[in-house]
Amino acid sequence: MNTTSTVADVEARYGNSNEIVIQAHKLRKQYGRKVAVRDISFSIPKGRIVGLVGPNGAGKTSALKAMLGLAGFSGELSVLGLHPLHQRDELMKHIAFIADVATLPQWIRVRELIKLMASVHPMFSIDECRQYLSETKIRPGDKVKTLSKGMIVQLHLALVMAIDAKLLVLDEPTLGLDIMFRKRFYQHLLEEYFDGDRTIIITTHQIEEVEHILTDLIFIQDGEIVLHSDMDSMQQRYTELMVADEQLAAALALGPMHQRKVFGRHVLLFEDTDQAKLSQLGELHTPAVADLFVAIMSNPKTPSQTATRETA
Amino acid sequence: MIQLAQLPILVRREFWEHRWAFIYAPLIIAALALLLLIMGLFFAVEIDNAQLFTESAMREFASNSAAQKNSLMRIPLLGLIVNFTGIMQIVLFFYLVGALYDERKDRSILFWKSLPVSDSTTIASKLLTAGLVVPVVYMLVAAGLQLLFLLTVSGYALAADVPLWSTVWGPAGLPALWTNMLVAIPVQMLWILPLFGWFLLVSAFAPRLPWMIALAVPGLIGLFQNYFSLMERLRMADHNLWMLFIKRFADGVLPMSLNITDDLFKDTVMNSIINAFSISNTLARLGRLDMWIGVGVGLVLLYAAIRIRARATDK
Repeated sequence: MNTTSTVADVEARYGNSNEIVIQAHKLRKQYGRKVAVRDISFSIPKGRIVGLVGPNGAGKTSALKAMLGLAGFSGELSVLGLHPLHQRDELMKHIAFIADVATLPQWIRVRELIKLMASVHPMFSIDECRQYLSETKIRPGDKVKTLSKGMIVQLHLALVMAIDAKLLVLDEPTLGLDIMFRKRFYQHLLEEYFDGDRTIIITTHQIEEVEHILTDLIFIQDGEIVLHSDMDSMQQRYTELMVADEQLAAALALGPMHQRKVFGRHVLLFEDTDQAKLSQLGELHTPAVADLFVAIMSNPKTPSQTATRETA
Repeated sequence: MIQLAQLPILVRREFWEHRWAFIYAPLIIAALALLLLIMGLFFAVEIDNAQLFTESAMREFASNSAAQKNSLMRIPLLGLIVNFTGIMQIVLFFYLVGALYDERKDRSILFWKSLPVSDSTTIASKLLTAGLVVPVVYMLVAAGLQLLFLLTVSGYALAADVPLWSTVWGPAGLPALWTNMLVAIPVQMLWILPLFGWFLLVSAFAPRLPWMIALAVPGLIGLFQNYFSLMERLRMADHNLWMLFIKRFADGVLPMSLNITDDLFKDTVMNSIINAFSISNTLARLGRLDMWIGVGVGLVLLYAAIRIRARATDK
């Protein structure tokens, strides 16, 4: 049974336009004989906040770099209707991204960076950037070299958020930041920056911090998409059941995709299973994305393995 | 496509990054030259015979023929330029081989590529910096130093009571000299284009040690050329790449060196050196075939550098 939602479903739910921001068909990236991205196809409509999740070396960064015109690829890929490699300079007018931590040049001063951005970027707002920076300890005369790791991330985020971009790509944006700033950042991202016209793609290992702001989720493993779903249908599709020892056998008979033990109780994860039946056996929960991730990644034979969302 | 409107800020960016090499270095050269001048004058006053610019020497100088005065006065003025061009060539070599390499090494290329600046605009800004803007800065400082030097000499001329114009400013011929320095800069850029293109290309692809690759490749090719030529015909190769490379580098239209030899002060030798740096000679370079072959080679190398930068990432 194919339970993945189609774009039409999602549009019906979110009422969004059918504008596609990213469209990939058989996207492939190879380093020598090592395949990093394996002929993946997907599309991301406008107005989404997509979490791209996968273990280290799964191909997340390779896929992102292809979308940002930072690396060659084969297959078809269009971002905002543009070819990322051939039309990179045009594309960059509408995209803001942090490709990795610590990529700001060490020698530059904060005020020089702002001046440069304002001069070459048509969508950059000096006022907004200063506004973000005023909430930090970063001063205009500081050299990047003299800033702490966390401050460099703050600076980069301020630069990127001051761009009126159609697509924002954040690859591990909060690495090295303290919990206070991380919370505030994501809050701000959702309330101030995200406006429904923008699309945001986030990769992070601290998935529990972002799951409440995501609208869509893509799991990637060994260069392939193992799950691409919007959050709502995902919550309908997966159910977590907490059972005591007595009910375990009955629950296992229903074929859970994953099983773990928490404080002496069994936590079973079910896919597409009758909720009424499950509720008779124990407590039902919506699974956390991190738990779902572990379950799907350690369960190579689940049917969701091939569940990618294709658009016509 | 090169976005011309972005070039000024991108060139400023290069100066922010290389403040020492582009601004402080010529000022330090000027300060050192000035120090030497002051020390020379100081010692000249101390030992009161056979000095350069004491009053009696000044009067002796003034008694030379006009042609001799012209030549003698231009030696130190050109010598001052050579101080700057020599250092500038080395500075620009290391700047260009690092221009597209350092950004890959420190991974800042990921940030630069997040800006709406095309690869051709980026490379154009670096070429413009090395070919025009830095030479203008160095030549401005050199011109300032020439002026200081002439003012000092004028002081001595006044003390020696010799006519200022026919002794100092006339023979110096500053307007012609400065015009030539200005005209020589773009001509020099065209002349050196194949080398600059090569340096940028190496900078774009070198996995490490770009300066070594930039020198080793033409060096080794030249070595092999000579080796096979010697084996075959018992003589050196005709168009040895390494020799062409060195000649491009050393034989610019800006004075790169003054071949000061023992017979310098024989009129013919001196005049040939002095006259080599003239507007007509500078412009004559534009009529030479090897100049335009070099420009063609330079453009091909630059195009290759742009293509490689388009695919370049941090690893």
